[in-house]
Amino acid sequence: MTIGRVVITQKEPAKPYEFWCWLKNDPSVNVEVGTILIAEGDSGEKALALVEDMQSTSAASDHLLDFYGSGYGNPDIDPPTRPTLIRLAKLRALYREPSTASPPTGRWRVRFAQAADVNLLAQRIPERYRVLAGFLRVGSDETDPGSWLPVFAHAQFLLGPEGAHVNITGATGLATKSSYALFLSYAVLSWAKKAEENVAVVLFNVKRRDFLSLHQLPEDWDEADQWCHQWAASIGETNLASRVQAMWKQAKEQGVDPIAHKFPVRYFTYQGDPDRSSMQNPQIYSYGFDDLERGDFEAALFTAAYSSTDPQVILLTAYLDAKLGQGTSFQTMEQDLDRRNLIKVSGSNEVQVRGVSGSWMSGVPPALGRRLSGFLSRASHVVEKNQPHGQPFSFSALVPYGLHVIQLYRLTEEEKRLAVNAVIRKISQGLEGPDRHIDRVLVIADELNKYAPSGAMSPMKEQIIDVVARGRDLQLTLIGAQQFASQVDDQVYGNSETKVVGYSDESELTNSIYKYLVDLRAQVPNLKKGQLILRHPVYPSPLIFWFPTPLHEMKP
Amino acid sequence: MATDPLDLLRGYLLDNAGASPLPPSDLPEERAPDLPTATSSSPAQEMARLEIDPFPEGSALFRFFVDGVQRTVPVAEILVNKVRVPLHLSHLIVGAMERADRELRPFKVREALVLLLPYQALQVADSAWSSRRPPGRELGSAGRIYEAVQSGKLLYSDTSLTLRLGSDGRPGILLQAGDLIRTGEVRRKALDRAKELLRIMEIGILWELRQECPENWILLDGPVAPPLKYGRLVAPALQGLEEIARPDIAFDFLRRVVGAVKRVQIVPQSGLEVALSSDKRPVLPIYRFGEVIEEDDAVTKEILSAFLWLRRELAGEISALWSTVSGLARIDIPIPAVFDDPARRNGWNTLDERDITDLLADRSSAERQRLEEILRSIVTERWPVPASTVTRMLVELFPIAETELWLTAQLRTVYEMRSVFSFSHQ
Repeated sequence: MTIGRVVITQKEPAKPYEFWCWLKNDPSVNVEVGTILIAEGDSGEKALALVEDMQSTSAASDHLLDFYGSGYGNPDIDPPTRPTLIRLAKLRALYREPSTASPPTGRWRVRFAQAADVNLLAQRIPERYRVLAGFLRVGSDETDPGSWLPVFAHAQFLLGPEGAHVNITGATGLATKSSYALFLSYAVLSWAKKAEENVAVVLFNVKRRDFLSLHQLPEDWDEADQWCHQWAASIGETNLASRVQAMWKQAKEQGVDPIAHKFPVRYFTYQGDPDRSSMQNPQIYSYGFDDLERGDFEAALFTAAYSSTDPQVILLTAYLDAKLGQGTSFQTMEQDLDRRNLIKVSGSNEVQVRGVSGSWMSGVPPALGRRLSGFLSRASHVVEKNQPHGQPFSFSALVPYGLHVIQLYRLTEEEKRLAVNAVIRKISQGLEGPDRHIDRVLVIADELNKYAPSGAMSPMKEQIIDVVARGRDLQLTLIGAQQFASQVDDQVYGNSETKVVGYSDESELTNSIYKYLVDLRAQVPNLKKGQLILRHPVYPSPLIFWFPTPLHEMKP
Repeated sequence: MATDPLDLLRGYLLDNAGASPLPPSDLPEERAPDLPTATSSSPAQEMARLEIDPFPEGSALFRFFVDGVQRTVPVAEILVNKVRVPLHLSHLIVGAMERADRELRPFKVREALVLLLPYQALQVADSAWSSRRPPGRELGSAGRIYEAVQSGKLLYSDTSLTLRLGSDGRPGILLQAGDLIRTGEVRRKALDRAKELLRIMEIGILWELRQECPENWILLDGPVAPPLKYGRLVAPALQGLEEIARPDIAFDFLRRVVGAVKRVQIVPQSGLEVALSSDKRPVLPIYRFGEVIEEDDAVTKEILSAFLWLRRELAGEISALWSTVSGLARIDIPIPAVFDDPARRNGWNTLDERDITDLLADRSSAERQRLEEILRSIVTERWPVPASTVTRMLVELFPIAETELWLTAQLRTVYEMRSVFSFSHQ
């Protein structure tokens, strides 16, 4: 059914990927921002387009005419003829057939997209590279799975080597960033199984219990439906149940079936974690002196706020060169740097550290020692102070198609830095190994702005930048998330080829890094629960899509 | 696949008539002409004076709103005896919008693409033109013009002959061969013909509506009287509409039609102080003009004319207002629309002026109540105000403006019409 026509006027000229249409004046034509429409020319031209903006207008030039027209400002007047209102929709083309970069040339007919049309969008991606990224709503009945049509990401752009990394921005507290990261993880693992690629997912749990009950899935889809209804009732939005159910049914059709796949879940937590009981058979992780490498030490000891001095770095390097792998503990290092244990160099103001070649100004070792002591006092949960070795996370702990949750919640910033840095290093090294059992790893890190903030450099940030830069070759994909993308390092953000934006505050959106959203930027504060904007390299324009609430979040 | 009339025309002009193209341009004077506002006075008898609430209650009376638009442009020229003669193409559209649940929607539309040329004068000037008869059906004095329009074929009309028949039963001569050198006159005759044809089409669509929905009220844009004289040309069934030669036919045609005149050219000699009074409650004087005036804004004695200062509230807001009368609207109410008694079907046009006055003065009479109902409805239609030029905003009714907007949007552009030679249409 034709619901409108492309309009080409002096006020609304058509561009190759951006043009306007008017819509039939019929309440049943339910079009809103984010709806996918098809514009078709008489000669078979077709444009699949996203409604990016909408306006209602009338022939009245301004409010004066409307005021006068209502009985000279009489609000009780009900004129015999209702003034004609015209709905206009701004369309952003996502796909053109035939492929062209020229604007529509006539009053093309506009209609709702159907399943076959959205498949056009999928044709941009070869079937073997299609990773479900979410759904486009094309029908008015959201309880019908057919109204939720899959939108795919290209595996080679999502995971490498063509591109890599995903960045998710959105306000905290809406459970959107973590939920979507998890949905995307399921989608990637499902794709990996089909593609017979050994992929593992590593999730850093930084807030509450976001990822601590991933093992708690319903037995079957009947139980999932029950959970869904109870969950929707519990949050007071009963109408959500049928929408989420419909999307999961469509996800299942697309091969994303977490219940059937039974992806293994592994938990890694620290000693004394009060949330330990929530996890299923968690493994304790900790780090001794000999479990770490120079970069880990630097990340733990030096931050952008407390940057290193050159003598301290030289001393640390010399110390690690001398002591790593020699059965040294943090306690020993602390003692070695203690002023009382330093060896004075006669005739000078320099000292030597026991077992380390070279000499330093007398104040340098104690300064590094104080920094170490400060770190150790704030990292007791993850540091094995008295023993050279702890129980570090290792690459070999990864299982194919597994979800590996690294618990960080309630750790100090120092502990988080140490753990994140060490885990990412191990994964990077593992993926570079010759006979690896895992082909690709997805790392999901919320609060990315803490590890790779914009502004001054830090050892931790250097590692993240390195991983992001080499990720597509390493086959390591970072799914980073944060509340404000403007607070994340430009290189890290810019290297994320796929960007996802959820509900965010307007003040954040004024930042120029969101320019790629064009008119959709105005829609960000209006995004609904489960609704996000996706910018993916294979699509010429960003699009608004939906995803279902993760199953474990709906457990009664 | 249907052939576009322009393609047909192109073939004729190029291959047969040896015409030369005119460059596609959009000269303002070649758009549909807008008549200037002018006033003249005429003797008229005041038949009644009705006071109407400025915000009357009650349901809307009118279901249909009828208007017509046209665009006439010279598209080619031919050389006859070294004289360049312009050929015009006219795109004429008439339509009716229907109001239901306070919403307007298109109900019926008729359009015609007519080649206008002084064919007989050309034949006299150059006998070769005898074999160059234009393609399609001729719209001429033989009538059945609305039937031809409904056929959807390419049409032509000879502007050197009148549409009306003379006393000898033949069309009169408008342009002689020698007049072809008077280019301005040739053009004037083409524009006049377009206007005549548009009125014929308006009568045609009114007649269609009257037949399909005999009890529903129709508001026509413009005076009711002028088109009536073309009744015979519209269709044989309307023969007798002109000059009310057949009162029964005119009764059936007029009893649910009212005209809204926004360019009042003729006002009663006695003045319109009553209508222009600034009293809160509008008082509408109803006049009957005593003689038939053959102008664009023709009036006849079969029409009651109500004068209304339509949007007096806005007059003070619009500084561009240049005369009080420019805010005045005239409502043409045919006598059968008020004196709607089937018993009068054959003799309503013989009603004595005194009888009419008495009946309209009697507040309990059906005629008075019908007249009040019509005028209340017109006052109701004052709102909303259409988006238009300053003067039109004061006098145009919103549904009429919308109908015109709808029809105008369907007119072929000047470029499209003038480029008949230069590109092929899809």
